[in-house]
Amino acid sequence: MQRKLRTAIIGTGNIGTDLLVKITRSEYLECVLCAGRNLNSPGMKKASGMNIPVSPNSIDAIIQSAGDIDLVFDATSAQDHYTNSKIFRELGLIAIDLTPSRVGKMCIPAVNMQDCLEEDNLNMVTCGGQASIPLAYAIASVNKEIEYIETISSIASRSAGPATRINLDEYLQTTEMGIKSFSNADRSKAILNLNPAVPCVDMQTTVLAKIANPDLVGTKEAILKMVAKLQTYIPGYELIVEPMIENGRLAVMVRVRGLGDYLPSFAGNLDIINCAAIAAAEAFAKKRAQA
Amino acid sequence: MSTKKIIITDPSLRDGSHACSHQITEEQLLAYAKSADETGVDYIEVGHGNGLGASSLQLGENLIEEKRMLQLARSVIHKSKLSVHVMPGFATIEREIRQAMDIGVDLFRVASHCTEADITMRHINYIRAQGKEVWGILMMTHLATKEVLLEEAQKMQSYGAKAIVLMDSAGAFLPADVESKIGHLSQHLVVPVGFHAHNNMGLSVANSLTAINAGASIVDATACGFGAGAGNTPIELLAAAMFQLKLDSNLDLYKVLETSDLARVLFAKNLPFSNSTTVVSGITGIFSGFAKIVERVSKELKVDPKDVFFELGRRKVIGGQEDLILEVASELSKKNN
Amino acid sequence: MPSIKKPIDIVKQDVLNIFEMHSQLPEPLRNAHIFITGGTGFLGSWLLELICGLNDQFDFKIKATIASRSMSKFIKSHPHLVARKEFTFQPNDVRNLIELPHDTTHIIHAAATSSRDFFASFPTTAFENNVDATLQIFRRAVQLGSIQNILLVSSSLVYGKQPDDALSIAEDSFGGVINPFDTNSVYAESKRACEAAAAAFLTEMKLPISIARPFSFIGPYQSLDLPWAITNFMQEAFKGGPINIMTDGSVVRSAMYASDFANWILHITAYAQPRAVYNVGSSEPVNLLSLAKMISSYFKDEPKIITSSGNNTLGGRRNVVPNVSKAQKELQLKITVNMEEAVRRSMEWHSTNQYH
Repeated sequence: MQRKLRTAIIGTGNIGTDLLVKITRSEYLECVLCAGRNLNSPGMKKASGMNIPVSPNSIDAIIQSAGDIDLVFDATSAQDHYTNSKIFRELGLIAIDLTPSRVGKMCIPAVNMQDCLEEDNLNMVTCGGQASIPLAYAIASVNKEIEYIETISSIASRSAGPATRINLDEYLQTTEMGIKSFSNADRSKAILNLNPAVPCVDMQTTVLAKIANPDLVGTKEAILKMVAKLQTYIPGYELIVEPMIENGRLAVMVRVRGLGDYLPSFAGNLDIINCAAIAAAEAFAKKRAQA
Repeated sequence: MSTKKIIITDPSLRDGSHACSHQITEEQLLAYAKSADETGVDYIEVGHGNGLGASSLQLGENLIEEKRMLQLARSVIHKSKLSVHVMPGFATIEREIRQAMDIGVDLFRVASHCTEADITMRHINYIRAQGKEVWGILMMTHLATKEVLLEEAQKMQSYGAKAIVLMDSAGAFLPADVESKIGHLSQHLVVPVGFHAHNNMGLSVANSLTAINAGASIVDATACGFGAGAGNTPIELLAAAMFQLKLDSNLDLYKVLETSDLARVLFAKNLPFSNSTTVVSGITGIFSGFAKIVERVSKELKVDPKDVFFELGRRKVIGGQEDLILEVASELSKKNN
Repeated sequence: MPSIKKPIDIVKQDVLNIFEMHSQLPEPLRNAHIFITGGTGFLGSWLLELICGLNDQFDFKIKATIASRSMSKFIKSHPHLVARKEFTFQPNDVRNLIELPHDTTHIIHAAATSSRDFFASFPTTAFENNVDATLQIFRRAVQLGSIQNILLVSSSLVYGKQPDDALSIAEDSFGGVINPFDTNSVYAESKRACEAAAAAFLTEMKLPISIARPFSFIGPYQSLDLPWAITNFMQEAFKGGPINIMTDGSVVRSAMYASDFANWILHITAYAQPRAVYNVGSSEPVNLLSLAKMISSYFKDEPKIITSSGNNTLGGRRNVVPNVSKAQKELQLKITVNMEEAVRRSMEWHSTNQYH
């Protein structure tokens, strides 16, 4: 039997720790190193408890163990990824970037995984991007000229940590860029709401589009197909409003519930980007198995 | 009552944008701004109902492009200062805030939902660093206790906001709420405190006067209440009451009355009024900007807008979540059939 | 002397009484999963007794996970609680926990190093235990999807010195600033730090945290080794006396009975809004001389009471009686056992338990 793809995680905050749980469940991946800064963090303790090698030496630990690693998940920060990405390239490691750095090619597994397999650095866009871009792509696959496309995400206030809050502008810019390029729309817009309601709301994402003569039947078919594909790697992804025309705009709406691996289940926004990252890493593993 | 001068902000050309589904024309904008500039109002706020960058399919698109709107306003506003509303999550520094600065906006009112002030840190920091005036706005303040509001206001104050305005975005406040919340903030904040009312329960003027009494020194008011849902505090009524109470402000009562008469003609088709929808909107505590969209969607999907409001209230939706109107209405329409 | 009962019967009767006397039950705790730190201490044991009562008599279906560093002792002293299926015990310092149970709905953080002698000799360890454990609990709670309330069990000592003429302490009665270099202040300061941590997690992480500030208590399961006036008096009385009062006896305290204490804590856990702070204790003032008399009158051969004319101000803590009207008004809480009855039941339990 082919050995599993050897992955490492750099950054052992909440995202990194949740990723670890998902990796250990994967048939195709194993985690050989968790590198961070604080051995006392819950993530590090969890990794140690699972007998995964840990190191507080962050990027230096990756450099030291590079020979035993095939792929690195970077769950640090955009700032750190700018430096890390160069080192990963020198070391010949594939990088899956969960920060909003926009260094690598934007990867939406259900849409462009095949085009990503020759890359050495993939950017997982944003949570809103992973939820909305597949819908935008499906809409664009049946409706030619999209004049304008827009996506709105509402997430639970408690699921937006300090980093998300401080980087709202980057979130909007990256999501807008993603939705525009994957749908070939002329213009795009992203909106994010933080809702403090208790109990916490699930992530909900809407895509709205202005299309001259929309093909509603074709769109519905394409969306249903896309949702089924997404559900293979994001189990909590659910279509809640099928494509409809309202007030001259095409609307479709989804809800994303998290798996509750380490992050709470209302944090569908964080879960979806991790699910996508795992799907991307598994695609590399499968490609290598075929080679 | 206090003897200090009350600052009056007129967001008719911003909150009123909701009342006409963001279809304010160039003629209306120019005529109103020119006239309001003569009333002695301290600030005139212009833009999409949800502020910079909010023109969207979600909320409704502006008839006039944002840049053009601000340029037109800038060209006729000389005595008052020009203000904009900024909500992080819609507006970004790079795109909207820079552009507004280039056009010459004087005041940026950076707003967040009442419990989420930390998302305004970067925007307030940036504006302050550029040497522009910046205030912090907390919206939907009926949803938080006075202790939480003070905490969030203190965050904004620490970022550099020069004033804090509490918005009763849903028109859900009773005078006692105003007294307790505005009073608490006025007592504990260093910067001046303001109040922005909605008239869903017919209390906008009473609430605004209560706010002044409780220590507010800034009040928002619009011509004929031109604003979302049941409208805002009508500036002509507020000015009259302040005149009677001998409350000091820069307002010229006659000019205010004339400008309101002008607004009554200019915006005749879209002036706010109370109906069963606005009342239900107020008691369910829904953002006033939802009113037009709920009415439209309910009509299209043949459901009772009151049911939509109650369901939205149950889900505790906040400003910006207008897409949920569609979801809730389609759910209701499925159930009805 | 009352008839011979087993100590557990006294506790069982107390549990029955409390629900009878208190018309309202902590309804939001139905089907709750409560994570309790310090769950094997005095308060913890009583919380577990009441939870058993709610489950057995009212079908509440509460689950509890209890973290404790003193399990071996608890297994011996409370075998009936250890055997319960709805309780999971984690014999672990809370600081070593990586995750809390994912379905946790409520947390009662009652673990604290509170013994005054330990604080006097090992202030660094004590300070670190209290503050670090609290920070770790809050950090872990950020990951909980269904958390409804986190109750920080703080202390009445956070109020600092009070004026000598103050008759009671309400939730906003912050007195003099505590001098951090006072030997006795490290416990109070550690609790203040825990409350500051609560405020930080409330505002930044939006965690639903509320705070209880307990005063003084009396009842079964309380160790008489604790160097508090009430426990000293009882211990001295059981040893045949005399009961030594360090003052002239006019210093005023109060003590809440254990079942009321636990019941109040459960109600606050169930109903408190985020940021709410409640005093927990008895508002029935008693001077130390009367208290000593209540204790001595329990014996046929009443032990002698000796007062001294020492310092009666006790460093700004002459009258330590809580004003609990906030909890009474907002949460409809009641004190069901008065001081005299509380002393009687406690004495009865201690005499049957041979605990003294």
